[in-house]
Amino acid sequence: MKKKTIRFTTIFALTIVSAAILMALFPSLFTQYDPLELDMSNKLQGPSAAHWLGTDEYGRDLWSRIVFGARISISVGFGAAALAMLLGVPLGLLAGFVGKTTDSIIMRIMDAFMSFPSVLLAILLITIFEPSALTLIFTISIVSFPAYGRIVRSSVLSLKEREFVEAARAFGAKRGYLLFRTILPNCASAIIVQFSLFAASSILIEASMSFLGLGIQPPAPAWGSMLSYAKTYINQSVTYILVPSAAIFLVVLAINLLGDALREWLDPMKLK
Amino acid sequence: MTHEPLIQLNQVKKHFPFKVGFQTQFIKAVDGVTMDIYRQEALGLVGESGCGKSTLGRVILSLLDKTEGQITMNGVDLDTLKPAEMIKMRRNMQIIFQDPFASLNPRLRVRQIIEEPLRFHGVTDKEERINRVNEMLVTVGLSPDIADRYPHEFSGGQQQRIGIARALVLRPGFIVCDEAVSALDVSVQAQVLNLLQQLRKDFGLTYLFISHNLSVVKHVCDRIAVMYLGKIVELASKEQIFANPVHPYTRALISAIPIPDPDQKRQRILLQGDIPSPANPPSGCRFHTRCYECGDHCDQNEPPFVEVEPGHFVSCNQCQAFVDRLTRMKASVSESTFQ
Repeated sequence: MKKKTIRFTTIFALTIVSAAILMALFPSLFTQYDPLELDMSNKLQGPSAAHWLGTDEYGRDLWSRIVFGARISISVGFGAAALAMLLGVPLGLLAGFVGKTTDSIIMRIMDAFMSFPSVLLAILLITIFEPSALTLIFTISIVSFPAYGRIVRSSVLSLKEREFVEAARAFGAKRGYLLFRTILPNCASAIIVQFSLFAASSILIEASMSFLGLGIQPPAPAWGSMLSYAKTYINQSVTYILVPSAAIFLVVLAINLLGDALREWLDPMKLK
Repeated sequence: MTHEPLIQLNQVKKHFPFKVGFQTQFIKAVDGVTMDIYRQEALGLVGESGCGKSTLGRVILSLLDKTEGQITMNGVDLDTLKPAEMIKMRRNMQIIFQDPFASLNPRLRVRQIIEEPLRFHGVTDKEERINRVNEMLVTVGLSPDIADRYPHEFSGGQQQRIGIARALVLRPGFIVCDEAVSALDVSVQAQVLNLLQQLRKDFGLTYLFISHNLSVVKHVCDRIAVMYLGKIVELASKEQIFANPVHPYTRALISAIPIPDPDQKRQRILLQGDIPSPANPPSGCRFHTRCYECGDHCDQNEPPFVEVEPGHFVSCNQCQAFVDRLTRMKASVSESTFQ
């Protein structure tokens, strides 16, 4: 009756995401060019047999820059989502489960962090620290962990009133047992799905920060900064601006699709 | 059934605070309940929704902290128990819920759901747990083969049987059935009710059977308590309450039971208005705003809970008429025996 069907979109999403992760881990497997190697005689070229996606204003191979840029996007995207999860989940659990004053205090602190404009915070942190992937991860997770906390809190709030939690209380389960053995496994799927969505939005934030010059500094390749330089040459080479845009678009779309697939896949009604 | 009390409630109250502006008000969900639950009886608790039935059931099980009053079980005041002793005491009292699906953890297999209480109460031997789970499944009329499936794969009736197995696995003496059958189809209701009765016989259980359905309560229970707005208004044996309902509210409830005979006319007592807010209950007798026999001072005098005949308690200012009639009846019976 229940046949496990894997949809085309899921396969597509899995392919893109795993390719991006592989590029981030082993970039040299995917390209023979050095992303920093200048070749002024071949600048701003369109796609060719030698340079699949063409070259930029210094004649650097675009495909190779996309491959090496994946490391920044993927590590910042997943790193920021992981850090936001690490901060948001325990706080959300605590706020939702304990309630009352603890809840109010935690939520107000999260509101304060949430109301911080991410770009302003990034400028602040970059003036204090080096502009690096770590700074980006830190900045993005600080502005996005409250949203994570809120999602966890609201699912704890609804779960703790459910009758199976009450049944566990009726046989004498203590608070720790209720929270970690009964409630947490039931919001695990929400946490995992949110992780993928946050990874996607973190990649977007990273790209926009790099676009504004707040991210990885040149000449190191990052998709956002490539976009920013390419806009100057939009009249000379269309592929130059299209390539990083497409990379960002495809990866973010794929991670979002993967999130949807995960949501369906982790549905307790599908347990067998 | 003996008349030895298993659980005694003394002026038990549960008030839920809520804020209106800067003022804190209280919803008086349970407002002074005094009654005994006898060993091995099935006590029905009926009343319309919002009257505090479920709250009372949860307060008795200490799932909700009471605001005031005293609850003793086997003569032990639950307030005097240390946390570790309370956990031990919980083995003895369990609950069966209204919504069978919501009461089962969707991420656990049936076996894990039933053995969770055992594991928690220190049954460490895996073999023993497996045997007890299988035994429990057979007891509630399910096959042990289903133990490795998930709750959503079962029908409502089967899910409720799993819930019953979980409640019974610790061998409790007292079970609160909170609307245990009202979410089920009528045909399945009968099966589950019969199962509950069989289990009661086999294990010598005591039930607090919470329901809004008087026919169900009549089928299962020995005694019936009628609740209105946080208070017990009438408490008597099933026979007494159906033969001689005294409180006007009880009479209205009984008149609302459908009779499965189209030719028989029934006289329905239709109550006017809605149930008043438990945050601000009416003065005097709580029922006076809807009572069709309301007397002059009913809005001022709170009626006492009096025994109008042996084992039949009523809280109504107008019940003196009933007592008079009863004594007249008894007198005429004794006169006629003299003649």
